[in-house]
Amino acid sequence: MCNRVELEGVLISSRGLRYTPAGIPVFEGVLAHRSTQTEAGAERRIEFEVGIKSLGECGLRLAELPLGAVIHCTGFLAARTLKSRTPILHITELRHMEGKEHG
Amino acid sequence: MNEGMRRVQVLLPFPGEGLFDYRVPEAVVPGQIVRVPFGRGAKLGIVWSLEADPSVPDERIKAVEAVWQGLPPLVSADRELLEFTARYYLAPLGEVVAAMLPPALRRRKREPRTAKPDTGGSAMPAGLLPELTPGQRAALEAVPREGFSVTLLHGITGSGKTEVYLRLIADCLARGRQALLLVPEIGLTPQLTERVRARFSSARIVCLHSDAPASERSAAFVAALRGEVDIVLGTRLAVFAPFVRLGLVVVDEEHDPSYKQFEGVPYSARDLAVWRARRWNVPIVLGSATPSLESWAACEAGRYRRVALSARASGQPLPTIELIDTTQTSAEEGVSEPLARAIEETLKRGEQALVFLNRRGYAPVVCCGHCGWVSRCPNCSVNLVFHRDDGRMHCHHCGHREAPPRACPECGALDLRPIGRGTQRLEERLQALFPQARIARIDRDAVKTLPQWETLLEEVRAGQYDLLVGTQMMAKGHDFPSLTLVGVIGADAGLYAAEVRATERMFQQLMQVAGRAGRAGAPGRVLIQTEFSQHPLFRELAAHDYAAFAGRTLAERRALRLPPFAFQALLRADDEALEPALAFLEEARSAARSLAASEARPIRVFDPVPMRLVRLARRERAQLLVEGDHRPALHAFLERWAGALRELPHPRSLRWRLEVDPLET
Repeated sequence: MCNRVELEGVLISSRGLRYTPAGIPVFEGVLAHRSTQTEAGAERRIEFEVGIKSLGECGLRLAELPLGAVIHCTGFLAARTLKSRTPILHITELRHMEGKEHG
Repeated sequence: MNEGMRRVQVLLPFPGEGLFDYRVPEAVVPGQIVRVPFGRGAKLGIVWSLEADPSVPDERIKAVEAVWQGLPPLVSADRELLEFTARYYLAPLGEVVAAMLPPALRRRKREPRTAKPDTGGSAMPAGLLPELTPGQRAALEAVPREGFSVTLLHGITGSGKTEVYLRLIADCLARGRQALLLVPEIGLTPQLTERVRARFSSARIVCLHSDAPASERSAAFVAALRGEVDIVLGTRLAVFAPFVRLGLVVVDEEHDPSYKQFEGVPYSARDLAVWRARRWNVPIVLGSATPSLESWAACEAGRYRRVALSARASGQPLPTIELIDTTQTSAEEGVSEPLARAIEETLKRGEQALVFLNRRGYAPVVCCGHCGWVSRCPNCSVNLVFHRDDGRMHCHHCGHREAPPRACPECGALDLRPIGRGTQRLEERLQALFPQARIARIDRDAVKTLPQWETLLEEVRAGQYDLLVGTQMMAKGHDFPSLTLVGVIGADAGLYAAEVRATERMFQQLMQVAGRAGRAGAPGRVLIQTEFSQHPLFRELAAHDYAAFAGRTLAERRALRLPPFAFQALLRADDEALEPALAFLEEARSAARSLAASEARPIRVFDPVPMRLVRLARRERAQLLVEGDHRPALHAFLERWAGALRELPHPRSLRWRLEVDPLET
């Protein structure tokens, strides 16, 4: 079944990097999105925040970005945990658009 | 039969009765060590009885290869010890003697050379003796020096029980007798060994434990048999050391479960030590800050004397014990805020703190957060424990190890997580909280050898570490002068375990670990994190009231007719699958029921059930419990039952064993 998300947003929070027992880096954070979209023929402003998770190479790159960085990413949605079924975005591809300087 | 030869029974280490007929020279007496031809090789054995089976024709009886005449025969009291052990634990005599004769001696082709005549230097204590506390003096007055008696020396942690042992041993040696001092684990008690050696520097002391070099054990056995030993110091296997002039038996930390042998003949060294003292008609002292409830009940019943040491030898008060209610205070990564604060204050004062967590490894299980997969051992019904140091998952039961999977084997998710907390993770957390602290982790992964352990203990005492993270290795009799704070994490597991002795163990362990705090200089403080702060066990612990704990727990056990108010035996069977094991136990139960029906006193035969840890090392295990309120009646029944069990058919792959007085049911 199709599960592909393409999204741009600002990295607004990071829980830093951790590693799985097998040594794979895991990044978790929150991405904020703000844009204008067309709905039923009318333009509207939208805003939301979404939990993100990224493993491996992509996760390492995310961990190096400062908060406030704007990224373009693709990935898929998956449940946060077995118990919490709300989805988070798993990022598998990443492009750094621009960002605040560190600090 | 050859001139001057006679036929005797020789007891050989053998997986069975082990009694075989041989011809020996006329002069040979029971107890003599002989080497005999056996199959294509030879075995070392003990001349057991001058009665031999006359039905076997003479020509089929072989002559012994050699009589080891330089060794005195094993005295009858010690031969009876073997017989008693076999009878009591329903084990074949051949397996019991295997526990006594050291393997290296059994492999020897020639008799060990007669040692140079040993004058046996003065066994008098060396150096200036420390002054006794009034409690120690009273204890010494209360222990009889002659004749059989059992004294439970109930001395709080740091009360100076060891000094009492040393004085008793000195008295024993002064009368030209030998002393047996049993300790739970030699590796954990190097301080005691050092103290004994230092005090009796000119006495002949042998140390017997399973980690000792084989040749050393063999030499120790020979020396003991010759009576050229003043003190035998050792772990449970030392209870079989031969004696010539035994005068005193001491069992230190008598509550410790490591006195129980699990492989081979499942004996309790503490219980055999009591039997031995009775047979030799000498006093035995059982020492502990937290006695076993068996021994406590024996005092209540008037069978054992009780002597209390209720003040610390240093004059220090006992540590204060406080609870941290983790239902009220959150404990991030296991360490609650009040505990973290207390550690910080302790470190600021330049004192040492210990955080006790009786679980080694990094995390007790690896889980997949997406599908719920958990790391299971392929051979046992337990989870694999993740270890950070080698990055692998370990089975703490069968030793299986494997690399953690890259992806979840069930759903393929990569984000597998270590769940829960072991000492390695706790160490990581504490290092993050206290980056400046020098932390030592003390568990079986960090400390693998005796020299490592001794070095580490020395370094801790020398103040090279500020913060210790340790398992139950830390709970036993160590003195760390600058340790003033003990934090306890994850102690609740013992409270509601479906195990008769779980709370007893928990109380003993907590009291022992609490006893590490504030033994020398400053007063000690103990903080225990628990979700069950209202449990009476914690109230008794905080009041250092072992008697209250013992009284309450014994009342419960009496009401439920559990040990020590009932006597138990456990039949265990294991096989490649569970069904044959259960089927065998069903047969065993039928046999037991019909035998029990003819006993005058009631024997309770329970149902066969799978063991809690049902699968271990690829074997499925089940058990059947029998109980009686009267020990002789239970034993009479067990002897007949064991006979019936041996006749029961079962698949070749099935193994069974019968354990008397099991510690775990």
